Amino acid sequence: MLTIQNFSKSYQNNKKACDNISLTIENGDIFGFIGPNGAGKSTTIKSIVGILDFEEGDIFLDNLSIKSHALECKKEIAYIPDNPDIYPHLTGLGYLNFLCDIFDVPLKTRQEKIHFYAEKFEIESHLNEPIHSYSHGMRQKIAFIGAFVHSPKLMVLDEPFVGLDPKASFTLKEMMKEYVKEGNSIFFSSHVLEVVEKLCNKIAIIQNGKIVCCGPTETIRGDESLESMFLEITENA
Amino acid sequence: MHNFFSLLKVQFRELFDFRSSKQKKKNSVSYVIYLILFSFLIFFSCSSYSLSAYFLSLESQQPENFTNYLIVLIGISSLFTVFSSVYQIKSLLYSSQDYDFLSSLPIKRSTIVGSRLAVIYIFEFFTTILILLVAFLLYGIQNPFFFFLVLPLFITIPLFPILLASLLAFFIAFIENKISFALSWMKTLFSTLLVLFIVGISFFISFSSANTEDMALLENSNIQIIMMLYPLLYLIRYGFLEMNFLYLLLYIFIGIVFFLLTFLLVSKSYHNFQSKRKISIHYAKKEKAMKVKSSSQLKTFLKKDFKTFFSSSTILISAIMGPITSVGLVFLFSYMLKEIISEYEMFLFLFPLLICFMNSLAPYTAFALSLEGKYFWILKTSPVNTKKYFASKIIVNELFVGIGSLISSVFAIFFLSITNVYFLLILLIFPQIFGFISSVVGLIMNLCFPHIEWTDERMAIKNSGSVFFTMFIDSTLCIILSVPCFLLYTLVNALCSFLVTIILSILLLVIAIVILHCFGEKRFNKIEC
Repeated sequence: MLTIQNFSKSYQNNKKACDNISLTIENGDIFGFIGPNGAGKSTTIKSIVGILDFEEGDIFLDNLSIKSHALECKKEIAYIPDNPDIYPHLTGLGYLNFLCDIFDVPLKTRQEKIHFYAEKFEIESHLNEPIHSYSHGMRQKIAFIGAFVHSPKLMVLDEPFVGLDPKASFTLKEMMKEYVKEGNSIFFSSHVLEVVEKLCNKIAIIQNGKIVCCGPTETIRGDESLESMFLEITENA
Repeated sequence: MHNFFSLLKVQFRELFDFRSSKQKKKNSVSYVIYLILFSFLIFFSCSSYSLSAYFLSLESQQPENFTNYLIVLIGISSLFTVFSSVYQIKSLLYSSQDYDFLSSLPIKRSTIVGSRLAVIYIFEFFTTILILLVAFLLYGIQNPFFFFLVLPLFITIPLFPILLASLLAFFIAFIENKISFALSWMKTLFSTLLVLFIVGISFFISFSSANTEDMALLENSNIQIIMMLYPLLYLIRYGFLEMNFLYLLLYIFIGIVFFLLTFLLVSKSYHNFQSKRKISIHYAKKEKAMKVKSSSQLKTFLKKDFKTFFSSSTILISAIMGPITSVGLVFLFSYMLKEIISEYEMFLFLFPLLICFMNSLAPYTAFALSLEGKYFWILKTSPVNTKKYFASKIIVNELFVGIGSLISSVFAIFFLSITNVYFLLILLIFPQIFGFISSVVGLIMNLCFPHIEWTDERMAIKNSGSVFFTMFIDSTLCIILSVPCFLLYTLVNALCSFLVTIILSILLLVIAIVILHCFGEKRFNKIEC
């Protein structure tokens, strides 16, 4: 599904935010990407989804390079940032319609999906309100519906559980599990290690821009908890 | 006092955005260049006008003419302060984004309000110096005793106008809070009326002086008009003409007292107003129910652009200022030309030039991409067809500029009774083509100099290299196109002039479109957020 090959990204001060990262995410994977603050998680994620340009290495989605086939790849990816800023002057439904138009979702499909996901996230009654009146959690929910509505093959999420109420958080986890059962994949970063441990079948730990550990969750944590494993790895790295 | 200076420092840093990243530095540099050029323009025009008025008054041996001129200039400077600081005061005092953050800090409200008023005052004080410095020095040469009052006068001139601007800003913020979410069109209408009011005052003053044969001899009517608009000038007038310093001291006293009153009133009402504003935003009325419907990418971008366009009075005013001013100036110059010059056919070429110049002052395309700001991630991560995205920006701009140009052209044709078919065609076609050139150039500049990281949309519009370079390129192209047009008309004939101008402008449009087509998508993908 997603292959990251020798990916490196430097900023203007020549400091390497990501250094020679290589990862593979298979169909049906829920891939957890963890690391301390400033380790390079968001830079990697932003490069996968096309927000940041990069010079070294390449990223492939189903063998298509996101550098040379940006549009084709973007059609199959959904991204949700840690703090989803959404056009405040649009209504929730206006935003979803906007996304559906860009992703060319047929009218019938979008009607069904918007209704389905809005009901799941309990936001249907707020869809006609302007986004500037939404709370952080409500914006997060709208962003999730926007991600699910065009049926992407890969979902890239940056800190997806921040700001969600317990019920929405549970719903999201269930939906993520359902979603990967259909052969899709999820790549997400999080600081909530308990969630990563329970939800992900694979994880990668990044520190100072380098992958220090990558593989199936059970193999990496062994008999320990993911938290103690993470602390051990990041302190020794 | 320490908090006051800290807030003042932060406010200036925010205004100039002096931070580390290359993009921000580039934008800060372009803003500083823009400020320097704008300041130079004000200083140069006011100084040269002051010098000519001074020497003309010496020549005519009527020094009171220069006194009258000085009073008018003080009036203009004061009115300029009122209008230029209204939206700055509104955004800093009544719609500040950092209210929640500052409220949580152990800082007195009076310190917050004081620091903000100080920032506005410092800006307006320097503008006053730019407008009045040379005139004051020249007046001081005639009346050496006057120098004693120069500094207190300079300090106090912007004070009362800031009070007026605060009242106006409060009124605008109040109206916006009440109706912006219920009826956004009212807000748009109010902003448009405000622009028309500013332009109207400028024309009213210009009209009254258009008939004077000797521009140095300012008519009494001029002073009456400006004193009617700003009655405090009566004190300065009596002070200067009768050399009675008491009037001037009273003017200084009124300025200081009312400024302090403004400070006290705003400090008292700041918290109440801001908290009510938060509540009005939180409990905003629901918008009309919207159905799920499908559109093409171009249509959906157009819908979004129109919503963006009308979502903020700052965006609206910036984008429609050019077309409105263009209509007004055509009206004014048509009148002046008919009144002053009998054989005015040679000057008709100025009209398409004027229309093009005014309409290209700040095209929407020059800042439309920057306005995406923190929402740019949505476009960057979606399969956006950039050509359709660019087309929507150009169409939105063209709708306003095109209509503005057309109205201006029709006004010129009507007022100057133009019957020459080539002039008619040039007036109707050339500004429309130039509008497209300006839109495409604006978009290219915005792609080259995007200002994505902003906290206040004014930064994306005014503190923007793309707007500055678009203005510069458009003005240059306007002049380049006018040269063959004028030369061919005088040396060959009107038909030849018309054909060459239209062909050249179409050629320029094609070149601009080719550049956008070749580099637009690449530049769009390079922009990071």
